[in-house]
Amino acid sequence: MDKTVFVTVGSTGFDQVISLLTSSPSLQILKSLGYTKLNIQYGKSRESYNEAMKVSNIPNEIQIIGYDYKTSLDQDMSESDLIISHAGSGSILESLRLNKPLIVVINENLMNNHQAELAVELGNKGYLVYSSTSNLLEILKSKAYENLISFPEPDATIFANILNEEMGV
Amino acid sequence: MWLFLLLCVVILFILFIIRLYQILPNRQSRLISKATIHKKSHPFKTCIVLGSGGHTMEMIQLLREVDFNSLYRPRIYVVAQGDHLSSDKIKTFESRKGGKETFLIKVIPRSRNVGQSWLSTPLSVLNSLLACIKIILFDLPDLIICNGPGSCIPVCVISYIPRILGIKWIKLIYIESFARVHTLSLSGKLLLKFVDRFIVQWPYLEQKYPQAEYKGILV
Repeated sequence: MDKTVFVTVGSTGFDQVISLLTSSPSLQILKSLGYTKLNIQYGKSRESYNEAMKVSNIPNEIQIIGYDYKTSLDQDMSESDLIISHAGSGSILESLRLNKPLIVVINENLMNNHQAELAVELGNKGYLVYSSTSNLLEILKSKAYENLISFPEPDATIFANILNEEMGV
Repeated sequence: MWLFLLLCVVILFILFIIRLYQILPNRQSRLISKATIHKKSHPFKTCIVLGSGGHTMEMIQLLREVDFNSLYRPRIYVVAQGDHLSSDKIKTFESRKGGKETFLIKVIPRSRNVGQSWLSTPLSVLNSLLACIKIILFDLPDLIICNGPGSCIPVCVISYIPRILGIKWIKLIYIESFARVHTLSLSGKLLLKFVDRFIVQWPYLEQKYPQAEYKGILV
């Protein structure tokens, strides 16, 4: 049975995260935590991914696979034991709904990064752990993502009621 | 002669402003139950504006418990050209919800493609506006639901034409994205004062904007 980390950078790319997670120190940490598989959705960061695959510093115990895009990440997320995601609200929500341990890496290079707001807010409430690229490995090592609170289920009747109220039924 | 024309224009403008003021939604009158003033009979023809990935995902969550069979039909989904992913997701959602085939998907051309020259932009903006006009003015839905993609701006603007002329009050329901915690999106800021209901997903926004309503976790 594999123990898998799923990494997703969304529709753009995030070179630093791809390079960092496939680096020797990171793979050693993952190995020591018992992970056996690293599944990477690298988006536009194909070069960073290929570069990392060329260097043969990958421990035998860890298998790395990757791809640029898929229609739905649902299966990869469901099959993983830890998700490391960019700060996009779609990926965050999808991970929370699957109740997976989640680390969100905030891209400090993006200007006016309102997406960081969401990650920080949800992080402060204990639903996820957020990090920057500089402290990602420390957070990985700390296992802080193992004691997260489950994000409350949405109540779909709320919106249905708003509509009915507004339409007068 | 010119003075007369100018006077006409000024009067028309003043009348327009007065009319706009009359029809702008405001919170107090809603509390007195505007719903009964503009009461319609169901089923309601419902227009739903979809956006790329995240927007569509949230919209599907929002619509889960909405009564498609007896109240909200037919449903007209508005999708931007080339957004096959949203179309596919909606088709899957509709078939899973098990309602009868009471929906259709309409495509509007993008107002500006990435990398498109600025010279041809006015033409494509016009093109997408025409598509919105066709959907809104010909179909005259009872309500429009949108959650923030850029394409909901022209759709909402055009829905004001029948409202100003007193032909039909098309209800506008706006839901700000889950991603907006402390600040509104550009679409949200533009539409805040013009929609009948403005729903947010974080309580901070309700405190900051009196028109906004927070009702709990929606997606």
